[in-house]
Amino acid sequence: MFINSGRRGILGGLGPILLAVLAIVVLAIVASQAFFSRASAAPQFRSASAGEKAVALGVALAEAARTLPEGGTTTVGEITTSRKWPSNITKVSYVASDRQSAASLTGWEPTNPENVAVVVVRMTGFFRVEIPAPRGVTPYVTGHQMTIVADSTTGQMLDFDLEPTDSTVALPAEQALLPTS
Amino acid sequence: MPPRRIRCILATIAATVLAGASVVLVEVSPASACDNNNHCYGTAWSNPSGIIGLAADISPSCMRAPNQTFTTDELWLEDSSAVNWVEAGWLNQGTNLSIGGNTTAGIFGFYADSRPGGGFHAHILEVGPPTGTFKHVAINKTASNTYYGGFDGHQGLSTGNSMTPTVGQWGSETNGNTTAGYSWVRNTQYFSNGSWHSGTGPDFSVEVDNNQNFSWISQPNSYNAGPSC
Repeated sequence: MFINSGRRGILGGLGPILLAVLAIVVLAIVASQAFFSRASAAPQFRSASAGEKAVALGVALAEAARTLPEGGTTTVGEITTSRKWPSNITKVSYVASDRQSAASLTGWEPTNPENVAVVVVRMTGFFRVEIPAPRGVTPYVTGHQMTIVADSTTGQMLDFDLEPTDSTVALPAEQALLPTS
Repeated sequence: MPPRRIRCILATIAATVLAGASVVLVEVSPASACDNNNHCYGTAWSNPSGIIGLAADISPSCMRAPNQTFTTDELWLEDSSAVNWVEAGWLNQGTNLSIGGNTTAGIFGFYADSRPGGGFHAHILEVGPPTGTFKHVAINKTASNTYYGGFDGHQGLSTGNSMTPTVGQWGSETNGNTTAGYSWVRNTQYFSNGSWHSGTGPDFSVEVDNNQNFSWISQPNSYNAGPSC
C-alpha cells in the first residue's frame, strides 16, 4: 500500500506535466500545418518548359488569328500557318503555373477542388473579341491587354480577361514570345 | 405594322387574358440573319425588385455549331446600363472562332461577365458535358464586388464586379442561322430580397429572333429555348 501510494503520488505529479507537454506538441503540429498550408496556397508561377512554351505559342497564335481588329491586313492563314504576328500585337509573354494560382490574374477564384497545370499568356496590342452577351448589347469588345490561362497539356482556354488598357505589369517569371530576342 | 404581326400580337394578348397571367406580349422580331455582329436570341426577361441571382436546371437535347458559329443555353443578370452583366450556362462553339477568348470547338459549361469600369472576363467551368443531361446553373451576387458562378458543381467567384443587377434573362443566344441548341429548362428561380423564389419573376416578356425558340412548358417554372434540333 505504501509503495502503491508512492507510485500514484509520483505519477500524479507527472500527469499535469505530461498533459502540458502533449498540448504543446499538438499546438506545434497544428501551427506548422497552418504555416505550410499558407505557404502552399501562395500563387505559384515558374519559368515554362520547352513543351509548355510550345503550348503557349499555339494559344497565342490561335487568339491572334481570331481577335484581329477591323481593317487589319494580316490574314488568318498567315498567322496560324506561317506564324506571322499581326501588326496589332506588340508584346506576347508567357509563364507556367496552376489554375488555382493563375485564375486570379483574370479576376476569378475557382472554388471547386479541381486544379490543373496551365500556361498563362499575356498579349498586348489592340484586340477585337466576339463575346456572348445579353440581348441588346454589342456582341464584341475591344481592348489592349489580353490574358489567357490555358491547360498546359491540351491548350484549352480556361480563364480569359480582356482589359481596356495595358496594365504594363509583367507576369511573374515571364518569358517573351514577342518581341523575339 | 404588318397585318400578320398585328394578328399575332392580338392573339397573344387574348390568350394571355384568358390565362389570367400577367405576361407582356410575345414579340417575334422580323427575320434578320444572325451573324457575328448580330446575335439572335430566344429569351424571357423580367426585372423583379432587388434581383441579384438566377438559377435553373438546363439540358440541351442537341447542340450543333457549324464553322464560325456558336450557340448557348444560359442565364443572364444585367444592370440598367446594359453594358454590365454576368452570365452562365451551356456553350457550343464551332471551329475557326474565338468566343469570349475560347478558340476551341466543343461543348462547355461557362461563366462570363462584363464589369463597370471595363473589362470582359470568361471562364470555362466544364469541358465536354454530355447533352441530354440536366446541369444546375446559378449566378448570384454574394458581396458588393463579388459574383458566384456555377455549372454542374464546377464553380468560382468573380471578383471585382460591382454591378447592381436589375434584369434577369433566360434563354438562348446564337450567331448562326443553321445552329442547334434546343434545351429543356426546369426549376427556374430568382434571388431577391434575401431569398430564392420559384419562377422567372413577375411581369416577364418573351422575345424570339430568327432561328430561335422560346416556349413555356409550365409557366413560369420550365420552358424550352434555343435553335431547333
